[in-house]
Amino acid sequence: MPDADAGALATETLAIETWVNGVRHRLEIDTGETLAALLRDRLGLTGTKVSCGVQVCGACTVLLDGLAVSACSVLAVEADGHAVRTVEGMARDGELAPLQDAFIACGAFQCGFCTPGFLMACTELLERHADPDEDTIRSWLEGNLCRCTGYRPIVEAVRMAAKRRTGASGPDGGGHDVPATGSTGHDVPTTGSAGDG
Amino acid sequence: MAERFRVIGRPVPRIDGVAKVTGAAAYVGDLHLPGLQHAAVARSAVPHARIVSCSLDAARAVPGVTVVLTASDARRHFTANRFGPVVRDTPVLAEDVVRYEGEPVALVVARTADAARRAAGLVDVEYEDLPVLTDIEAAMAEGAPRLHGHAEGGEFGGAWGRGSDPEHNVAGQYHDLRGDPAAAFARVEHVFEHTYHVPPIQHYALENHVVVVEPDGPGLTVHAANQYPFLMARLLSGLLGVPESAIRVRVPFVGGSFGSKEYVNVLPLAALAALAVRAPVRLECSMEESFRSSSRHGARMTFRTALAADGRIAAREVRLLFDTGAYADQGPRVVRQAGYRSPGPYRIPHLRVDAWAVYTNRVPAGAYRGFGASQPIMACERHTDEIAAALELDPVEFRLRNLLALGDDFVAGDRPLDCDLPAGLRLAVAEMRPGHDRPEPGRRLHGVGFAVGAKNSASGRLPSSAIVRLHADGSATVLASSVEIGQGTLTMLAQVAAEALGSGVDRVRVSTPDTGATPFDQRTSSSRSTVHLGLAVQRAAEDASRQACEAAAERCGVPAEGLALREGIVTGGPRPMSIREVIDGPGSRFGGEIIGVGHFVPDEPEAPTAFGMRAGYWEGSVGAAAVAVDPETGEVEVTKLVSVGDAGTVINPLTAHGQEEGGAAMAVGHALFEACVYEGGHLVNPSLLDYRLPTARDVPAALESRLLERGDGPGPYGSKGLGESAIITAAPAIVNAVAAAIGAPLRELPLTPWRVLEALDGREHAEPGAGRA
Ligand code: FES
Ligand code: FES
Repeated sequence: MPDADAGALATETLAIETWVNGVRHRLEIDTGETLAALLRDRLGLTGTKVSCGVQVCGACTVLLDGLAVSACSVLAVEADGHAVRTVEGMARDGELAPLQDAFIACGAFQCGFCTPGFLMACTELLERHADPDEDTIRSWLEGNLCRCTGYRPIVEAVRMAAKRRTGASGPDGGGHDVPATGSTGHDVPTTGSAGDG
Repeated sequence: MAERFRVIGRPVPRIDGVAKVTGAAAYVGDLHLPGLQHAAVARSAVPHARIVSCSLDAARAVPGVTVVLTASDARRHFTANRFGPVVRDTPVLAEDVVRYEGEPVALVVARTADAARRAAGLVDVEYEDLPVLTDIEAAMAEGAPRLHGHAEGGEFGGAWGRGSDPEHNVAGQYHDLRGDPAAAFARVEHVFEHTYHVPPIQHYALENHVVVVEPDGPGLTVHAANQYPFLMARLLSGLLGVPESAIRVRVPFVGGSFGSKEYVNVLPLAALAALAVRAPVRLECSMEESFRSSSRHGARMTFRTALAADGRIAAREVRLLFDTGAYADQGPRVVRQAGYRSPGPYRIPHLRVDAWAVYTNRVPAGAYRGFGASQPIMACERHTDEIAAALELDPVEFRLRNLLALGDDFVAGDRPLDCDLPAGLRLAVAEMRPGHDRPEPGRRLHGVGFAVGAKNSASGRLPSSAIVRLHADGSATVLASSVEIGQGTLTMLAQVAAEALGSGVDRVRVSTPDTGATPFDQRTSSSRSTVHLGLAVQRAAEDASRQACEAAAERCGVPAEGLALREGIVTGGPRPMSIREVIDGPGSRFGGEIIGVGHFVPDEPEAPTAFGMRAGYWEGSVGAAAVAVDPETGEVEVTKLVSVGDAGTVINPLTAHGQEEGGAAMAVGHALFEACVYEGGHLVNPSLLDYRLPTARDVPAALESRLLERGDGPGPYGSKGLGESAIITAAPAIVNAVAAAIGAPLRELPLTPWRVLEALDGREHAEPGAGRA
């Protein structure tokens, strides 16, 4: 049901200064405006998605000074004087970040609507834990819902990205952790041999 | 399997991958148009009432509001204020009666979304309450208040609508009688009868319903998150009274659907708003509004089975009551499919099925991934385990004794079963063996459960067309109208085209649907895109390739046989010839590119069965689950979940297993916690604060998909469809596993801790207000 109060709070305007993906913005905002609205409607950064609107699904996750927040429920004023990172800031000069590469390699998304939120949550995770185990990853991701994948490939992508970061210069060079024939954990021979069963 | 092909069977990374991990992928809600206005819906606050008065003054007074519309405006702008896929029983905006809480009553258009929402909240409606129908059986009883009169047929019309019986609040029905079940029941010693309940549930696609409509000449351009672009174009052309060519429906990336974004009211509503203000309008629902737009049918299902002394099924009777909510939506189609599939893929000599979709004052129920298969398979597979338990038979052995084999008739006249269920079941049993059925020390109870199902997918007359434009540099653009809802259809079609053109997938671009530019496809549903549209694309690509080879042969004065297109070069002739030379060389008959055309039309859409349509193929499925149940808290942990599908040929293992795993994970919620809870016609949990979805903690790390491949599917390169197989058996496998763990029957979903404890105690089921169908 439409909420009779929606927008009723947005009466005052305020000048803020915020850094989004390293770029400084000085903006006049409504005090009731959410960070998601600021990013999507004012700055055209539509990578950040809004789904539940009640801080449960994590689709709107962005990093505020490196900490994951729900942009649907954080007010834009809270970004005043702070740095915001969104999915648009992950790739550098057209080079995907290791986590983005790993998401593609593992098939860690289908519809992709949850993906920007997961990528930001996982970015913070990897900044805190160099090589998180399965349990740590799953606990960390409890605040992000995916209706499409069943999560296994997302967990796998985080581990792959972690290994690449920590082991990139090591003898294994990150080569062996990339499944040769797919990221479902089932390579083609297994799939094929199932047909004989 | 993979060696026979260049790109088929390879885990090609999704072609939409980079767009989706960088935030560049455009969904409807990301579209910004100059002069865009915003619509918001004022919705009924009551489940069933007469509208006494409706005051729009306060809403109109909100600054920024351009117009507030009601039923009379819908009648003025449209040929009729009515729509509906099977029967046109649904007003775009309520006339004098509202039939469910959340029904659109008025539509506000404003310069900002905030102003529109605020004004919608100020639409002041006075209601006179009418009796509320919440129970399906009561709604069908003589003398119950009638929710609808007769309505004409909709886009699906025809056979689907024949069961409409508004005098008894019946939106649709299905009946079948084979052999003489009554006599068979009288002959046997063992008769089992059980009744199962599943609640209505919500799709919860992360992207909410959203549509942007622009006035465009005499018609409209529509940007929709929708699985049915061509049907929506047809619907709007009828409502506006303009040719189909005047309506252009474009579908960019869709943020999940699972059946929710098929026949939805947001399209006509947004079209009405755009016609009224003659400007582009966006209508974006909140999640709560999405909860009030569609759902999966809650159902009450009774299975009665006569068993011969040798453990074979002698006869079965099935009675299904589906709660279709306030409007028919696709309920009549769902219940026909459910009735047809309900006996299960077993040998059953004598059968009777009666199934009804019943109107109540709840949110309309319609399509949901596993369309009409999930509910009856849940009941059938629980019933199967209960019979086995009563006779102390092994549930797997009992199934194997009765299962239909590869090539058997499900019903004579339909496509014979092209999935190997016994092989799938044996594989699932093998997968569950290592350690998972052995209780670990501790207080938790452990159990393993299995379920088997077959869904007649892609049934009936569902044509597709495709165009492949082969460019002078050997790259190609595929024009096709399959909606990318996450299933990986664009990547799959690119692989099919690349295989036929002998090129790399990176040389192929695939369009998203635009009914004004891309060719017809019946719809993206029923796991049919791979088979039907895949065949059309394969034929279009082969047509382009054949034209190239013939032209090259002609140029060289040799026969075309033996020539082939590889990496943009025609080889096998006196000299290799590039596509550029073929297209641009002297005497070329091509206008700058080669255009290949392909069609798919089913040979035999009809079948002499009670259902009446022939399956495109059978989506066979076996689910297996291991669970641990805490007997003190009633909490269930799914420790392993395996799905075995039957894929013909896997086109892309990455996306194919992704579909299977995702479907199985979704079923964890359906088995354990999801339910739309109603109190007297009021939906009390329309938000993620109260409706729980599976998280990364609820879905087991041991989530595994296996796909049988025999290369015998009707689709391109021997493929079949995928996408709904895992979901139809994973939930019953989980419930069977819990029942096995606690040693007590479970007949009502979801398996909340409360229900599990109650079953453990052997007490009667009577949880208040828990979404019982
Ligand atoms: S949209 Fe912000 S948490 Fe769901
Ligand atoms: S990919 Fe669709 S919700 Fe996660």
